[in-house]
Order: sequence, then C-alpha cells, then structure tokens
Amino acid sequence: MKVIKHILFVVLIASCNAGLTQDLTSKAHAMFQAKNYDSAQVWIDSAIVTKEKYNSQTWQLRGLIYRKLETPQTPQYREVAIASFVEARKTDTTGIYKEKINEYLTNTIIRYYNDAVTLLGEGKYTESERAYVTYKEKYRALLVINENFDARDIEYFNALGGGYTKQLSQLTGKDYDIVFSLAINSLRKVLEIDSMNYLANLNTAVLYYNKGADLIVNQAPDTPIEVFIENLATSEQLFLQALPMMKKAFAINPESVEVIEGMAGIYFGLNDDENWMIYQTMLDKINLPILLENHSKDPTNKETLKQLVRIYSSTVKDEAQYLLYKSKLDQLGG
Amino acid sequence: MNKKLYIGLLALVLMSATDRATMQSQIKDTRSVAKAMFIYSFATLIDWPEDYRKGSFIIGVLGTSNDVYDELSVKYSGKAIGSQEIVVKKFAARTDIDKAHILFLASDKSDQITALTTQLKAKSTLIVTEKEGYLTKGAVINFVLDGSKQSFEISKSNAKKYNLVIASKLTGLALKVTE
Repeated sequence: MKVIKHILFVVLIASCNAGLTQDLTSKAHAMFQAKNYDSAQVWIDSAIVTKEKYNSQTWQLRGLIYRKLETPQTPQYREVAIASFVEARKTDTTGIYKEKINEYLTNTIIRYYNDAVTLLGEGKYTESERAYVTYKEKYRALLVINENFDARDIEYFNALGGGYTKQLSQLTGKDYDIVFSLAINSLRKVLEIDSMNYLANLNTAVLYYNKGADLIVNQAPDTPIEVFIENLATSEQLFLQALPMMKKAFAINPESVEVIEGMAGIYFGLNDDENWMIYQTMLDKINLPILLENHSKDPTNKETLKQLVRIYSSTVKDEAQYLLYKSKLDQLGG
Repeated sequence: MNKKLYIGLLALVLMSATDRATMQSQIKDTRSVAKAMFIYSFATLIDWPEDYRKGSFIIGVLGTSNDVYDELSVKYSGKAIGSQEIVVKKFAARTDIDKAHILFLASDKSDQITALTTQLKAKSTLIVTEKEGYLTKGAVINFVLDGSKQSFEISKSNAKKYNLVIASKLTGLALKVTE
C-alpha cells in the first residue's frame, strides 16, 4: 500500500509541476466518492500543500477522508480529521460552511464519547474515563466552550462507578482498596453535581456498607482479638459513612426494596435495634407474600419456613401463623 | 455509524452498567460473626481447671436462634484449644447442659440465668450472656455495646467462682471489668 501511495504522490508532484493544482481536491473528492479512501488521502494531502489550502472545502474533504480512514490501528487519523475541520473553519472566511463544519466536528468528537462507552462495556475503565475526558475537552475547546456536561457526567460516572463496583467482587487486599477508591471517586463526581442523585447515593452507601460488613464477615476465624476489635471500629466508621447516603436514597425512593434492605443492614451493623426493626419490618412486609407463595410451591423448603417463623414471631407478629409454620418447620427437623 | 446509533448504544451500555451498579446490599449477619469470634477468643485467653483440660473443648449455645451456633459450628468446630478439639453444641433446654467449657446464653433465653447459675454452681463453665446488667446475675462475660460496636464486659469475681483464670490481655480489651 505504501508503495502505491508513493507512486501516486510522485505522479501528483509531477502533475502539480505541470500546473494542474486546481484539480487535486476534485480528484480527491472523486476518489472519496468512489470509496477509494487511500487514493483520496494521497490527493488531498497533496492539495493542502498547494494554493488549494486556502479553500475550506479542501480541508473539509480532508477531514472526511481521514475520518473514513480511521481504524483501531490508525487512531491518530481522528486527530488529523479534527485538525482538518478546524482548518476548514479557519479558511471559511465568509462563514458559509460554519454549520456544516461544526456538524462534522461534533460527529468526529463524539467518537471519543463512543469509545468511552465501548470501553466501559469491555471493562476497560481507566481507558474509558480517559476517552470521556478527551471528549469533553475537545467538545469545549472546539465547539461550545461553556457546554454543560452535568447530565452526561451523572450518567457516565454512575455507570463507571457501577463498573468498578462490579470488579470489586473479584478483588482482595490492596487491589480491592484501589478499585474501591475509584468506585467511590466516580460516584462522588456525580454527587458533587447532584447531591440528591438516587443511584449515586444508594451505590456509595452500599459500597461503604459492604466494605464494613465484609471486613467482619470475611476475616479469618483465628484473627487476633485486638485486630478484630480494630476491625470492628473500622466497620463502624464505614457503616456511619454509609448511613447518610442511604438515608438520602430512602428519602428519594422510599419504596425501593434495596434501599429498605440497605437501611436495615446498616442499622443492624450499627447494633441499632430500634431503627433496624423499623426497616426490617418494612422489608418483611414486602417479602411476606413472596415467601408465602414460595412456601405454597415448595412446602418442604426449610429456609422459607425459617423466614416465615422469624417474621411472624418478630416483625409481623401473628401467634397463630407463627405456631403453624413453626410446627411445619419442626416436622422437617428444624 | 451515525450519531443516533451511537447514542442508542450508549443508552444500552449505561443501562446495563447502572443495572450492575445497583448492588444487592444483602444484610450480612455481622453480629453473630462478631460474637462467635469473641467467644473463640475467650476460649484462647482463659484458663480452665485441670479437670477441664482433657477431652473435647465444649462450646454450648442455649437459645432459640441458630445464628451464633451456626457461626461457631461452621468456623470453629474441629479447631483446637491447646490439645482439645472444639465441639459446638446447641442445647434445646437448660436441663440438657452437663459439661461445657463455655455456655453462650442467648438473649431469648436470658430469663434462665438464675437457674443456670445455680445448676452450674459447682462447675467451671464460662457463662457468656448478651443482656444488660447480667454480670450482676452471674455471667462471667457479658456482651455489651461500645457506642454502636460490639464489645464485652467481664466480672472477675464471677470468674473466680467458677475457678476460671482470665488473661490480663482479655481484661485489658474489655469495655468494663468488675472485680
């Protein structure tokens, strides 16, 4: 391919010397329309070193050609396309192409956004964030200096926080701590824009809660008592960090099962029985019909029976129901 | 690919990502884990009389709920205290209790404390409770809260009654020690 390009370039130089420079953009355009983008590239790159460089359309075409030529192997072509559109705007002294060029720029710059989304889906979170930041920087530098990205930031960083959180289940030790911080920081960016964002509050609270609970639940059985006591204190702090955010999530969406469960979990972890019972009762009232249905489908399921016994004896007190399910459980050997 | 299609793609990816972000905050039983861990630590930091240093090391649970018992069984059954293997037992009734190195009296059976202390008077059972003020009722160690975190208090005089020697490390970590 390089050889062909070189031959074409030599032919072009010869043509230029023969005084045919006005045709270079047209030739590039013909190649572009014929979808022969490699040839189009050679012609257009020749055009910009002639007096055709003063023609905005030459630069517009160059941007379009390079945009077509961009592949994962030639990511630099996107930058060439953007630089060409910028040059096209400069040479458009009357401004007749302004709208069109800006559309070209928008559609090229959005590729960084698309990259961010694709990388997010692939679990390449660092690269995704880099692409997202580039998208915003380019957009502001070349299109709308005061563009408000709040809505996109909220959507993007909530998703990024979710992505990091998903990774946490496979990590331990320092790796866990690093990704935990990345998840918290992503969600914090959302909360800085909108402190009442439901998803960011809920997920931040759950992150803190899970970290606190896992610190206790997952420790080695023979952890020295003094270390264990320190861990209890750390867990307490994490639960206390989770609480105000879960409260906000509850204020926004008081019927969400996961929020009610989160409130119950945090208060349980904080040994606050009074508040725990409030949310556990809410949760049990929601879950009771499901448990009863499960029991009717599978009457020998001990876990379901245990839950029913617990609920009827504690949160949704009903002596008759309690005795009924207790006897069923006893018959199954507890 | 045009802009609209990409925005559609974004919506899909974000939807799935935020879906994942909505983590299941299943309530984790941190309390039973903490109590079981403390009970095991008590076993390692208390000395029993000579006649309790043979055979299995029995940790008993008297209570309706299985949470602490399950935690003890899963994590500590079969481990050793010195040369003694830990056996975790759940007692259905107080009268079933014969010999135990440690007895955890859950709050739902706490009304049996007086009868229990009488029953175990001549034995060397470490009675652990989880009810406020229960050191005065005969418990050697009682689970209490330090702010909102699990802690414990110790009665040295009750320990003496049962011929139990508590390591200074353990008393040093207790929220309160009564002589």
